[in-house]
Amino acid sequence: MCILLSLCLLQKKKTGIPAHSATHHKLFSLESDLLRTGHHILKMAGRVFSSWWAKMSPYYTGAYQEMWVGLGVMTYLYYKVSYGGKKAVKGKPAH
Amino acid sequence: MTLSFFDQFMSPTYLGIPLIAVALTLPWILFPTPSARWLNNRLITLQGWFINRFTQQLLLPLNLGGHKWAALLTSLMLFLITLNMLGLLPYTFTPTTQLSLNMGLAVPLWLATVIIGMRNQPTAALGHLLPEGTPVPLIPVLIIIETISLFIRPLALGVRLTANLTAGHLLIQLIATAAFVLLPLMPTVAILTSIVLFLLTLLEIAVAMIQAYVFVLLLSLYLQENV
Repeated sequence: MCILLSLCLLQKKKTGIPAHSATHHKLFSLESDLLRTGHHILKMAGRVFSSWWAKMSPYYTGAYQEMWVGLGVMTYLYYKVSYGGKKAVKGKPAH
Repeated sequence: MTLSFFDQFMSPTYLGIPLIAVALTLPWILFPTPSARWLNNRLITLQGWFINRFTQQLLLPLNLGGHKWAALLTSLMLFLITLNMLGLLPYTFTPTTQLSLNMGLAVPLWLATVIIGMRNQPTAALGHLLPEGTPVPLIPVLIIIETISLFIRPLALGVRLTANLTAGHLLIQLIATAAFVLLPLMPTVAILTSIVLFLLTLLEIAVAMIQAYVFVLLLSLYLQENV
């Protein structure tokens, strides 16, 4: 990928023609619709998350600090119940 | 036949994909966000009125320190009441019939109230273990009893919700099966069973709302003791 990118840049420098012009075959293009849509969706998700976090951060970091202890305890218990300890895991013996 | 009555409580999967996340997050779309306008439409106004009134009533006995929990308690109430009510529809899965979910809600919230009490007012929090006016010979016994009752609280919270909803759903399925099976055999009895089923469904609607409210109310009471 790096080789392709550097080739595109080299093409631009040598001839002065933009690497993505109509007369040039695109060696590698970042302008596909799928990637652009994905990029927009990621940016939108980022905006949604940051607006939510701006409102909710005082709660999660300040008001509900004690909740995280219980959450950790329950996560640990769920892990223990679902996956058990070392002996509960099926596997080949060491030798 | 006996096993199939409990199939309704199995965590739903579709082609191997667990749908529990969908079951838990889908009720959120039933609550429209208020717009930026000064006056919303009737549905959103009603929703906002209910939420404000509920929060106001719930926070009446709480001190100022407990008011931080307003958003949590109200959203928990809406969450539980929506899950419970949607579960009454035929062929829908009720996440609150799962003990794992209810204990996952009860234990962290109860533990948070205990930690808040121990952190901010440890003497008063420990003082709750001995009621006022206890006769001196009974003090050791009563402290033990109160400690046990303190630790039973999250268990009771979780199991109460699970048991009420599971029992209700099972009863509905049993009586509905009975009415269906009896229809070709004894239609009169089947009609009577259907009337019982209808009344039971009304009861289950009430239980669904009451159990959600009781869960949140008890949490607010535990918070009130520790704040």
